[in-house]
Amino acid sequence: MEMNNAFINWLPLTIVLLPFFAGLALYLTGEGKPGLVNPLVLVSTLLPLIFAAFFYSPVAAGRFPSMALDILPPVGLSFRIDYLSFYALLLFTAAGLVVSIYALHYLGQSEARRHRFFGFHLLVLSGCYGVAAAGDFFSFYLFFEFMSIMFFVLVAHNQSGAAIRAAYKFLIMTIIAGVTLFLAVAVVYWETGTLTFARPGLDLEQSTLVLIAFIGFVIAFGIKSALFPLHLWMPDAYSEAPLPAATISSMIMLKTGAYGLIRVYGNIYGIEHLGETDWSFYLVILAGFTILFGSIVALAQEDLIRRLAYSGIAQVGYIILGIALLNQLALAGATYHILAHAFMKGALFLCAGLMIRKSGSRLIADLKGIGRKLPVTMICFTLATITAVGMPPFNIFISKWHLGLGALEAESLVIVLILLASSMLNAAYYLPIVTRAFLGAEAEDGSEHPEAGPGGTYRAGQEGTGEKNRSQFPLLAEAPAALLVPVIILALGCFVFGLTPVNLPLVLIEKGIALYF
Amino acid sequence: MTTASIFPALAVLVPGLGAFLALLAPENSLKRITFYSLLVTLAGFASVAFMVPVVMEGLIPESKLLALLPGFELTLRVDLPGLYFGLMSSSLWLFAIVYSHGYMEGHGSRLKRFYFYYIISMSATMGVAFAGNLFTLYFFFEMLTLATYPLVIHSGTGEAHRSGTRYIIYCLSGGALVVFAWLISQAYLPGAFFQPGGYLEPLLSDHKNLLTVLLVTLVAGFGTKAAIMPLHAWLPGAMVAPTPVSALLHAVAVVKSGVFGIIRVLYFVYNPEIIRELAVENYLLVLVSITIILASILALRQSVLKLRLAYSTIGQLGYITLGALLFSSLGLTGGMLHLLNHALLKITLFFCAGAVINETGITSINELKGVGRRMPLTMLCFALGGLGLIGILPINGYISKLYLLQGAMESGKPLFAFVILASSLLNALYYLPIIINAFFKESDFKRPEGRESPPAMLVPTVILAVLCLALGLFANMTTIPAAERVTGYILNF
Repeated sequence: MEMNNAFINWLPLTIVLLPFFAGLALYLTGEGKPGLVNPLVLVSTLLPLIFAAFFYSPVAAGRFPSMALDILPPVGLSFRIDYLSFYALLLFTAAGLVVSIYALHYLGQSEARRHRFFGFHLLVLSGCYGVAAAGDFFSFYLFFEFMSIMFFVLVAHNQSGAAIRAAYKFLIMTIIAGVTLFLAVAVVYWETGTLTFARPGLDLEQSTLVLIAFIGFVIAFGIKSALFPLHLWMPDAYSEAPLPAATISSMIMLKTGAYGLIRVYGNIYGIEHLGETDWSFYLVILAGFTILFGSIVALAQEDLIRRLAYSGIAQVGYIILGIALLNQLALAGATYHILAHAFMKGALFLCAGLMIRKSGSRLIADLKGIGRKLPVTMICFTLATITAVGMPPFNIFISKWHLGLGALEAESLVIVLILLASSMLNAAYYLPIVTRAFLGAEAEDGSEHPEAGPGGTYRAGQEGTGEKNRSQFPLLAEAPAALLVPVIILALGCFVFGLTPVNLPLVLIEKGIALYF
Repeated sequence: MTTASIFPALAVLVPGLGAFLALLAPENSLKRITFYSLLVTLAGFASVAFMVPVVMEGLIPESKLLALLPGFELTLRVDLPGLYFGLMSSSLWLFAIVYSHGYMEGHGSRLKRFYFYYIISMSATMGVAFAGNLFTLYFFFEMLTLATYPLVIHSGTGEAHRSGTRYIIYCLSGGALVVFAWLISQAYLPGAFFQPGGYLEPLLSDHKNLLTVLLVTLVAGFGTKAAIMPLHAWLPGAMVAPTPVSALLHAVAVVKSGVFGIIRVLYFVYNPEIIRELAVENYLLVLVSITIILASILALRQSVLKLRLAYSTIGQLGYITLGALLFSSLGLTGGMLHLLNHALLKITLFFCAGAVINETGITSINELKGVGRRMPLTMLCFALGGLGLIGILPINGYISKLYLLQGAMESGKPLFAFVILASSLLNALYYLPIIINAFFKESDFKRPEGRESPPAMLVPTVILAVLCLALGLFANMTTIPAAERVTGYILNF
């Protein structure tokens, strides 16, 4: 038993270091050894998922594996797997594995600087896992910054002028987030002398400095999770980054911002303490506005990736909203939405990748009739779309249901209306893609469509699937299994939790959140 | 408790006299010159290191070098802050001598002169670190100026001479202010030694104005070397010197002697209570804050790599002075930490810059596109140094910033926390484009065939970069206890 405990306690560090060293090795030695990439990426994303599963029995029994190393002053580096960490870690490692499999085939051997892309892909994942497993805010901050800065390399991957501009914009926003978070962390540490996640709130006195720290937290996590008006980096970064990188960002990195905010609410300020102030109220307004803004702007996007990006802004708005409402139901909804949105948006992104590869264009107008050529892809896309609209038993129904109830409990009818309006807007911007893909007649000559999306330099458009040979596709031309299976897994993930007798993620969330109230 | 000891004298005299050893080597044999120089610096470093256990026990080794008249005596006393500064500087000399070997290969003229003055500066810096009274401090302070002047004008070009002239005018004027203040204080309290808590307390009741004037004079005098604006103009000019000089002297030894002088004045001549009584610390804080922000903005506008680093130095020195002026124990600890952390980070950055200039001949940032392909390891070290100065975890720079932020809160002046944060952001704006340019822009640079730069340059650079990372991760076993101990000694009076 003793041995077993030690083993479990060291697992979080292992989960973080495995992709870290693999990524480092890949970047430093991978050039000229193309055979190294695939096995290294697969092993170092599969093992973390398996290791994460080991936490099930202690966490289910209410024992939280934890460990602290006396490095990285002043707080030290610590890991602690409680209900929410376990939930996030499981989600992140699973998403990491699925997207990695897809990415390995999507960015094939002919890809330039492949070793660098996958090296930093692993470094980013290592940071993401660290964020989920961190046991205090300082460790969280370390991994959060590390993840963000490493992601820069993925955005800049194709090294075009536009990509580097987008990456630079992202980096500057990241540094702003880092600086404000640093201030916030310093204030909290100064006021309380601790930053641990083991307590529901650190009993901060209300003062101007503490309010400034709160604003710092909101800005930092707002930037990461693309809260209006801090979303500026995101659409550009998504357009310019290789699609798997945008998927990782959407599925995991946006969520680390939301996860951080949950920790700020639950473990730093304490939800009851925040209830005594009206600070959170302003965040509710901002989140509500973000939801509407993201949905409406998404509607206006002609480019599929940009539409997904803006929709992501709206969706993460739900999560922030649920956190800011300060009640148990809304918080449960928000936390569940992390998972719901990850699967939904992951499936959409990966499907979009296949469709773009096939059609050679990122414009939604160019996707007419593609569903008949890629039936499996389109079915998955459709499933994800239905999820987004919020039908039962799909995940987002569960989260929106909780959010709605939470809003009612907070006696905020406006919020309920915003949720409904946004669902309709979701339908308005996703369903046309589906109907056009399945029912739209394929364009006979492509002259009416511009060559490429606003990004202009997207490689998929340059791979020879131009306008002319598009109509020469064989009738069924699904992508190879290695690309399709990840898509199918994510699409299934959109509703499978709602069908099982016990919704494991929801149980974890409810247990985890109950500690805060 | 002072105890007579020969080691303080050795720490100063070994490099001071040993420098002549370098002159014995044949002019064109870089190897022999480097070997002798390394021997001398090693001996100097050893004399400092020998004192560590003694000083840690609470004793203060003392050497009287010379006593002309009461007060006009050169006395070395090695207390904790002096040891901290001396140990840091002398160990960096070892790295720098090795590095110079690689650098000077390509700049072969006047080698002996270069090494001679390079080692003399070490002697002067040790003197500054171990000075027991204001007169000694002044003496070595001037000696440092005079020893580094030939290094600034080393290349012998017109520009070098112009910059050198400006350098010596600024620094000697600074020295003149110090000696003026010292003479006046000498008239009232002859023969006073530095001591924690200062020695000017007796004058407070009757000579308040005089104390204010003296304080401003002293801070301006040392502030010239610490490049507090508007007294900074000599520093960017001094960048015409060979890179080993810029790296060690104008990023570490000379400028930090200025900061160290300010700390001596604030805490060993004056003390926080006296200065609060004089009500000048807020003006000084504002001045330093302006320096921090303005230097960062000016750094943004520089297109020459070494100049950008020089302006960054001006800003970063401001952090240390800010920490000292906050008069809080956390702030002073932060300042002490930054004294060391910035030294390591900035010397790494300069070593990288020097290697790049040496290998490619390029000095302008815009032309360094894609240089990361040609010199991957060097630019990785540069990236590490840059990120460290921005304050990214887990590189050592963040620790000093954290302490400074808390110091600002401890002293009830959180405004200055924002100054530090704003400057972090500006740091990012001027360091990141260099790193991005180096790694992500297409260019004609090719992978190096064989080595990317001489091992004598690459190895010290990499070791220092790794040290920066290690001192970030393991600071609570290394730098933090050291800085806290020093701060404790300073404030415990």
